[in-house]
Amino acid sequence: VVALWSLWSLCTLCIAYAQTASAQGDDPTLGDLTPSAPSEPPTYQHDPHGHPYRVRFDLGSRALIGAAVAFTTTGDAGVVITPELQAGLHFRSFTEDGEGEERSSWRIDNRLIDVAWLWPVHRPGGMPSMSATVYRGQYLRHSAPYLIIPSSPPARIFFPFDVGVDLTAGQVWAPASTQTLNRGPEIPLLRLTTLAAYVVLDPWRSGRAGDSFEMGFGMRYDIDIEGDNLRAFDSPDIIHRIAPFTSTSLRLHLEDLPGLTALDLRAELTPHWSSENEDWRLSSSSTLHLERTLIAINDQPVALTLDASYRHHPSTDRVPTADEWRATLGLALLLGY
Amino acid sequence: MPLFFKSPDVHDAGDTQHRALAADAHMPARAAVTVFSVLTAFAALWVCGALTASAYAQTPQLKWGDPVECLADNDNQPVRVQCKHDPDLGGAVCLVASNRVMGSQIEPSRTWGCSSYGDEGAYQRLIDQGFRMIPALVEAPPGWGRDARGRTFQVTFDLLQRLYVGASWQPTFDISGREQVLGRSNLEVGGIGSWYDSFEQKRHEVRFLEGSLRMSDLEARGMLMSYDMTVRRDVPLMWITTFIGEPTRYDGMLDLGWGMRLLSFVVGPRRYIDVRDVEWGELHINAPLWKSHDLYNQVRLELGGNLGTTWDDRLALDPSSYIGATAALRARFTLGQSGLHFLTIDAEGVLPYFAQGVFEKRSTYRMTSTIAYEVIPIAIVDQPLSLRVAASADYREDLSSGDGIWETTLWLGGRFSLWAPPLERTFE
Repeated sequence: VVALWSLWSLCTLCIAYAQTASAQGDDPTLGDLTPSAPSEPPTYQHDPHGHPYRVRFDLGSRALIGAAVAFTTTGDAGVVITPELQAGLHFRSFTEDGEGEERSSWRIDNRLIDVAWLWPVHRPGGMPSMSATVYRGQYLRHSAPYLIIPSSPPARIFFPFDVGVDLTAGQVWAPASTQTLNRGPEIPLLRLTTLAAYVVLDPWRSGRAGDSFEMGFGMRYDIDIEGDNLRAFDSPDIIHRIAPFTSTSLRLHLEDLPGLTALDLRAELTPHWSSENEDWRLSSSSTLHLERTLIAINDQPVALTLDASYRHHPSTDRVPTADEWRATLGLALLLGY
Repeated sequence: MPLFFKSPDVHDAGDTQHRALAADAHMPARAAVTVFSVLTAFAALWVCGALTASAYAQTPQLKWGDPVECLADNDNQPVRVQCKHDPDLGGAVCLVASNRVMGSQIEPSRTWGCSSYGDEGAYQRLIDQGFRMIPALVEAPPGWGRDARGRTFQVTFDLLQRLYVGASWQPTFDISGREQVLGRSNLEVGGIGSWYDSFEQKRHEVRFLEGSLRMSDLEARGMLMSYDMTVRRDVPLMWITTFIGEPTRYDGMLDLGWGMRLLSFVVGPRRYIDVRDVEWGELHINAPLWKSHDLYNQVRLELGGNLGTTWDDRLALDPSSYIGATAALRARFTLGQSGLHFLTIDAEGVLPYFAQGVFEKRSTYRMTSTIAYEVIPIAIVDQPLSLRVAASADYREDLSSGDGIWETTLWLGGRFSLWAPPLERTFE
């Protein structure tokens, strides 16, 4: 909870700074319905020989291949330093419709086969540690800050939020350490998120494709699979964890205009029902992702990436409570257009 | 058996070997006389050709590509006429060339054709109009000359398109100077094809069925085929933009091409007659360090890898397979625009690592470098006969003993090339 409130404070500061820097005359109440048209930088520049080179990128649409060094600790287990790989296909669409107060826009960030991190070398419990998602979609609608009540006559009420959905389908998380109780041997452990869906509200209402501050609440359905020590997943223990709209989230996403720098902060707090002892448990996670494009090779950017995350995993009958802290520093090749 | 001359501190045992050395002692003198005779013959032919050519070099010639009017002169003989106003020739002139090969009724070959045909009396009308008639040679296409009788002959040669057979005297020296092999000769054959794609700005080069046999030690070398594509790009292959401070672009003008080699072999290299080496394939990238506009002249660097097998019967009959890294620096220049002078430089190194066999987990190093100059003094039936002078240095590490040996070789000989077309080059 303390971490979440700290994150909230940080996000508020960031929003205030971003609004000051980029709004430039926008009505703070109504928001800007167009993606900050005033100071849009050019996509290409030309060198003295007339050769063009790209100086603006779409951070939401790309194929990402990265390598990093990860520092991970799970409390008293010490720090594990290991190389890790990152990969993913990201595609962003931004559509607008209507005129004036009827104008609305949708920003949709799609991520396919998104491997947030994968340890090819260090394999606790005999399987590679990883966090990967089959599909994640973040949908955010921006429009005039009103809701229309279909009464007779229709009523319009002030509603200062952009509305969206944050959807995750098919996520696999294999933790860095799966030490069993009483410092027993590590066992294979998987958390499979079948579906997580959040309704998100964005009070910032930037209207830009890259900037948002999202507060969400929603449901999750996770399945923990604990393997057998000797024969892997031959006879696993399966624990169902269901959060019926009790999960909450905060997310701040910032991108600069040329698409060279991106910051993403996200936190989740999830009280949920566990099938193991049919009681309620609490899990949480928070992530920070910062990337900065340093160079581009043939107009394909190469970025320095910094990731940090914290994940609290509730205990089970065999595995104690796990608090996993991670920090990584790496390089990513961002193939896109 | 090669002829060995050894320095006095090397003692041979046995009368048989002494007699052999004594019997072969005249070999260098005979070889030198033979080489001198061949060179003298070449020089005599060259001088005669030069004197003959100078006799009609001043005769005007119809210009290839300009309109030619075909008509009959006042003696009713067919002639080819190009009329123009040329201050150098004294104003209005007509160059007139017989449209028959001298002494026959055969029309000259390789002409531009007739743009128009004059009627009877057209020749006289030109005279009446004030044109001065100047005897001239029939036009000839680029790369061809025409003699006073109207016959054509090829005067430029593209040595990157030919089949060739050659022979050379090839004395070989140990770099330490302790050993010389003077009675060594070399026979060689091969084929080269090369063409320039001006649209893609690429030059393709194929070498095929190249082989050589050295006598009398019977060292054989050969190659099935090789291919190289070199490229000239107007747009840089790679550029890097930095976003630290103001975005800035840096170009990498690397014109990367590629090449390959299939099935090369060396059987019984000198000193190691029990060694056979087969390179099954080699693949490399190349980058011109310097190139002419049409990539005909170029200096290029090659980096790649190869796969091969080595047999060394001194140790085992079983082969050892290797994977290796290759690097080469190659340069070629045709001096002037005739293609009569050709200079090549090749330096190649191979670093094989044996993955299997009796040499498993061992690596070795081989290097060869050659500089060669080839000049065409004469052509027989438009097929050039060239003189080739070369020097090479080779390094080879003997896997059995671990010794590394340097050798230098001189080449002095000739090549007879077939179907080398006229040199057609595009210049900026």
